[in-house]
Amino acid sequence: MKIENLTVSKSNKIILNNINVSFESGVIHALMGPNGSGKTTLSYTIAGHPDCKVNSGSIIYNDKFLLNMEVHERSIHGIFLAPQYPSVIEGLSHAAFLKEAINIRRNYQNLEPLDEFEFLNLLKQKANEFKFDSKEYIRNSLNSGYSGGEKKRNEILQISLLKPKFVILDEIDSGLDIESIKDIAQFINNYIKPDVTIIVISHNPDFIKLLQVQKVHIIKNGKIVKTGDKELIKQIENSGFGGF
Amino acid sequence: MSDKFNPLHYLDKRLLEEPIQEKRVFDWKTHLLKRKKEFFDFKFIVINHNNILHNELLIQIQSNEQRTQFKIPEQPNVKNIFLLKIHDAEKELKEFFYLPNNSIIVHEDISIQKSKQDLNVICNKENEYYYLTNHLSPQLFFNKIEFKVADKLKCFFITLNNNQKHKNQITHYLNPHSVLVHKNFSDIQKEQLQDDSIEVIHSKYSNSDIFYESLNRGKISTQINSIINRTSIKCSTKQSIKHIVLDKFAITNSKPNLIIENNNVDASHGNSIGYFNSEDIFYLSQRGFTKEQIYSVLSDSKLIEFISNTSINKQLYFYIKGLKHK
Repeated sequence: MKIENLTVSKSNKIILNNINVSFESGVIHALMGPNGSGKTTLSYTIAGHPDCKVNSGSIIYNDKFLLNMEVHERSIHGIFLAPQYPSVIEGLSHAAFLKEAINIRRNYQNLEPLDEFEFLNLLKQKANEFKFDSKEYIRNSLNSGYSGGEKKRNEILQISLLKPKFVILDEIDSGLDIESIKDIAQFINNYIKPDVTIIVISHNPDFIKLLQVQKVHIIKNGKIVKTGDKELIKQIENSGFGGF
Repeated sequence: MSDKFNPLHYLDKRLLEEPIQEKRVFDWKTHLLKRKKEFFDFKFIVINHNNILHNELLIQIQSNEQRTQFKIPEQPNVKNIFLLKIHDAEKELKEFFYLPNNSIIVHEDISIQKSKQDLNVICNKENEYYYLTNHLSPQLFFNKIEFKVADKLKCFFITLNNNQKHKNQITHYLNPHSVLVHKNFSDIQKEQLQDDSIEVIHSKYSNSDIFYESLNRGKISTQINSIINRTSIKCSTKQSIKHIVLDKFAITNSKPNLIIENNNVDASHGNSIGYFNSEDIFYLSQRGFTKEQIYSVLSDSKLIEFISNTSINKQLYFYIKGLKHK
């Protein structure tokens, strides 16, 4: 993905100011920066959030102009945003939600919808894998009654099921205990493939250190001010973002 | 008894939580006084999990008006679920339901041609009444329902996929100490009109809780009147109205009215017209759902949430889901 001269405003306030950055595939990228620097706005702009008004610039993804695509089209083309605060939707069961999400992708690939029995077995297996009670998980409404950590695990489960190619994890480590952080880090390290891009947004250098991050991008005041390798983490640990 | 009226023939197993017990006796009387041609086709199903000794179905057709009576005798300590399906009645129907104690009535009406229905429901103790419609008639459908609430009544009205003008006029007459819970869910498609009027007339010491929800792509007009007169002391009435607008051309008019003539009353009302949560829409879009798919799953989720606290919720969910996709 190549982002060029991207300027984005929210509520008539410029948040991203002439951003230029590339997110190569096969790489885990860390996007770091102080509060209010524009990390979430950048991720939401890539995903197509209607509140992020693009004033100028372009995003090229797989030779396509991403900004011309609707949100659902971006998703079908592999863009997956795990937001900091995932939605809770009462009445929409995980089974109904994920079955529809899978079949949307299968339809796009001209495949038959997944058989009900096959789907439920797959979902039970995934629920167990991500430490949910599989029977309850299938029945439960989307994220209903889940703690912050469970919601984050649910996002990871969705990635495992839907297999997106461009994954943005917005503070996926927040609200997680140390064991869960390790599990998620392991999942991310295993998920990266030559045709997959992962962007991890986090304030926590310890979490980034658990990942096989190859590139670190520092964003400040709506601009990418530094791109480097994992060594940048040490610099952040020592002197914060003040030195950039 | 002809096959047409054999209840087992029409039994909808989705409504049953448990397999039907073996020991059941259906004993009913059918009186059809045909004067002209058979003018409606209806199916009446009696479902009972307990050892029911006697059930009676009485159908009466009078000379000048089409009039139906359903009398179900009381059976102490027996909870019944009765399913009434009216599939294709013509013209006008006048129906009377006499509900025995502790009974649940599921009344499904998916008539195509019928244009007017006049319904009187006389309740005893702790009844639940579900009215499910999925009309396809292009004509104006006028539905006038009167409830006489003796003790406790939970009413659930679910109106789906109207393809017409639909007018509901529902009146609840509460006796002293009556308790009424009235829930209404409507899903109005584009270019459809629904006009709902709900009136609750209180007696002293009576309580009413009214929940009204709509998903609107067309036009809806809602008026809810809670009437508490001077003699109706120590009443409680609550109204909660939520309209969700799904189309920029949709029109929603909502009038919550509390008409109170004495000071010894506990009354409240809430009324909102809004949209689905934009973050939920974005979240689902970000999982590949188009706007139409989102509205469909959110509307289903609202329906499921709506019926989730009912006593036969699981069965009703599957039933309504089936109804919705007819």
